[in-house]
Amino acid sequence: MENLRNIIDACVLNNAACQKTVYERFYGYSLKIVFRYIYRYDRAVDVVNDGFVKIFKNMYRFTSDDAISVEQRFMGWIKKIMVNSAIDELRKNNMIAEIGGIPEHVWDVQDKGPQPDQSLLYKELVAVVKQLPPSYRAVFNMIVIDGMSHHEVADHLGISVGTSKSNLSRARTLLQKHIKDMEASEICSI
Amino acid sequence: MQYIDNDMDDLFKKAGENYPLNIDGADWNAVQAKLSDTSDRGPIYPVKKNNRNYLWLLLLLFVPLFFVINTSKKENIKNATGTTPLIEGGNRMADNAVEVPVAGNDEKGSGQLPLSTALNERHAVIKNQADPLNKKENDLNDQKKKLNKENNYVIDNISDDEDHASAPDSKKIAKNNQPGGNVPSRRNNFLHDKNKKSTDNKNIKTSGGKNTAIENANLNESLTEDNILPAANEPIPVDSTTTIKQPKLSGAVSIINTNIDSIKDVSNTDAGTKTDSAKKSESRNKQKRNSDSKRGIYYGIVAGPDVSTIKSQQVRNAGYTIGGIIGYRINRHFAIESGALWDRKKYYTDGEYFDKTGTNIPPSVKVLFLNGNCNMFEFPLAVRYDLNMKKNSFFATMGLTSYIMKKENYDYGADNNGMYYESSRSYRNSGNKLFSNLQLSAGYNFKVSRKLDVRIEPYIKMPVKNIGIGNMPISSKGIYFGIIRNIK
Repeated sequence: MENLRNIIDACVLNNAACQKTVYERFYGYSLKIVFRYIYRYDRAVDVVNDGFVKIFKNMYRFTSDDAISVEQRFMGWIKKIMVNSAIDELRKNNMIAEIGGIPEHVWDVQDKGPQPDQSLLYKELVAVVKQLPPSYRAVFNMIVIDGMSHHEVADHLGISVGTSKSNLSRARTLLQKHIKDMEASEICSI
Repeated sequence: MQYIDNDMDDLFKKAGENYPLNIDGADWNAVQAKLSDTSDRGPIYPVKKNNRNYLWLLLLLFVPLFFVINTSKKENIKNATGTTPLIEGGNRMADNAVEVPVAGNDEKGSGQLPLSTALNERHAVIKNQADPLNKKENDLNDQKKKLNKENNYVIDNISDDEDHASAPDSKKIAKNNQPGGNVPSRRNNFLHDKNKKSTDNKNIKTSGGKNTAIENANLNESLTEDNILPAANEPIPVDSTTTIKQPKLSGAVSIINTNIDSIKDVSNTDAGTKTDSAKKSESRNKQKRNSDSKRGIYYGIVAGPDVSTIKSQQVRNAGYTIGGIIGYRINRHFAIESGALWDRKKYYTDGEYFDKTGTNIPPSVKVLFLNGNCNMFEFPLAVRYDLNMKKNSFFATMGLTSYIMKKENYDYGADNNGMYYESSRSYRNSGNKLFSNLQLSAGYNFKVSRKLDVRIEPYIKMPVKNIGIGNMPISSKGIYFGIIRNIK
């Protein structure tokens, strides 16, 4: 991981090649985070790019004394910036729900993972999450998937802790309902 | 689907991290272009600027001072010129014309300095003046000549008609009338006579018993106060040759004496022989009347821009203030003002001045900066001092303001374990603060009509207590533009 440390140091000095390396290395990771929040794929790509601009401009803020955990810490740092960028984008649009389906080309169904069926399941689950209203979706993503506390969610979204808990509960209820509907439709199709 | 029943959260977590997503859309060029765009502007992290665009408003506080100095200078010049002699110049004509009645003091009552003497003394002064004054002088001279002629005629008649017993008296009258030569008014005539009262009485007593009851009765009827004191525009009474006859003099004298006494009293108060105490009491009464006339309630609306800062940091936006005021004018100079104002303040502060104790911001988060705005009610209580109560006047106020905070909105940048992020928060009804700001202002009041004023009032508000959810020392500068209606 010394390599990453050196790359980060070079990024602090505005080394374009190192910045490109970081971008290409963590682009997929960042897009997967942002796309859970942002409904539209093209907007998610823009948000990721904006997030990387913030990362490179504030790279000097990233500090990690422990060489072993540089990558983990750096990924955690990237995740927070991407989540914040996504929330800013949602807030910019006043958390208004978007209509229209998700095109199939955004999914990488030919995933080389060991369990292709599981990938399909994950795709379905993420698609269900994206169907949630933006305020519920944001809370669910932040707490359940990104592991934030209710206090942090309240701080980021500018809502109270109670609202955060309430939104999470409603999100779970809606997701359960969606999944049950999916199960029912599968049974019917059989 | 069996995973869902087991651990739904864990499943969604895995799904969120490992779901299949097309990640071929990486566009480094786009990022690089954005980086080059923002590199010229420096880092995204906010840079403190000393934006003092609104500090020029403070200069307005000096405007009243300038006018006060200017006005006092003008008054000094006016006072200096006002004490100079009347001959100073043609442009002082109006003032000189007003001062001419100084000679009238003699005319009114003292009797010590006849009008002719006064006119002679003033003659040299007045003769170089412009036409209005010369005209007045000429009129007075004409009157003087006419009176001389008439007095001589009276004396001649008396000396011709009466017997020898009345001769000394007539001569006395003639003698007394001669030096002055003229008697400018009836009142002065009697006062003039009063100086000779003792000799007249003696002469009348020695004139023998020619006075009869009928004559006295006739005289009492003829010498009523109206007859004795005719209107100012009537001719001088001594021209009547029939009224001044020796037999009637004894009856007339008693009436004249009483009238003279009363006239003397009146003249003592009316004319230039006023005592100091009388003047003081009169001025006191006048002041009281003036202060009574100034006392009253006024109300109006004020509005204006508001520039708020915290510890003299940068200003990014201006807010506004609008509301109503009501005041009670105690006297010519002092008034008490209060009101209810709606404020929208906008301010910027570093995180160090923002106390996040009362907020829900996690302790691990370090607030770096805040862009805030707040809506609140403001209740000022101030004492107003008017420099003068002329048509347009300067004033200054000092007082304390209380706040009821309704809503606060903050966009802030924060550092959470080395990660910079921006967020926003809103707080409602975060607290009321009594007398939390000291308000100083100075302004100018234009009188549009008898009951309507327009005022311009630059102000500065300094924090006495910290306000808001973040306990910040917010100071404000601005200008009130107001329309005031006086109730009396």
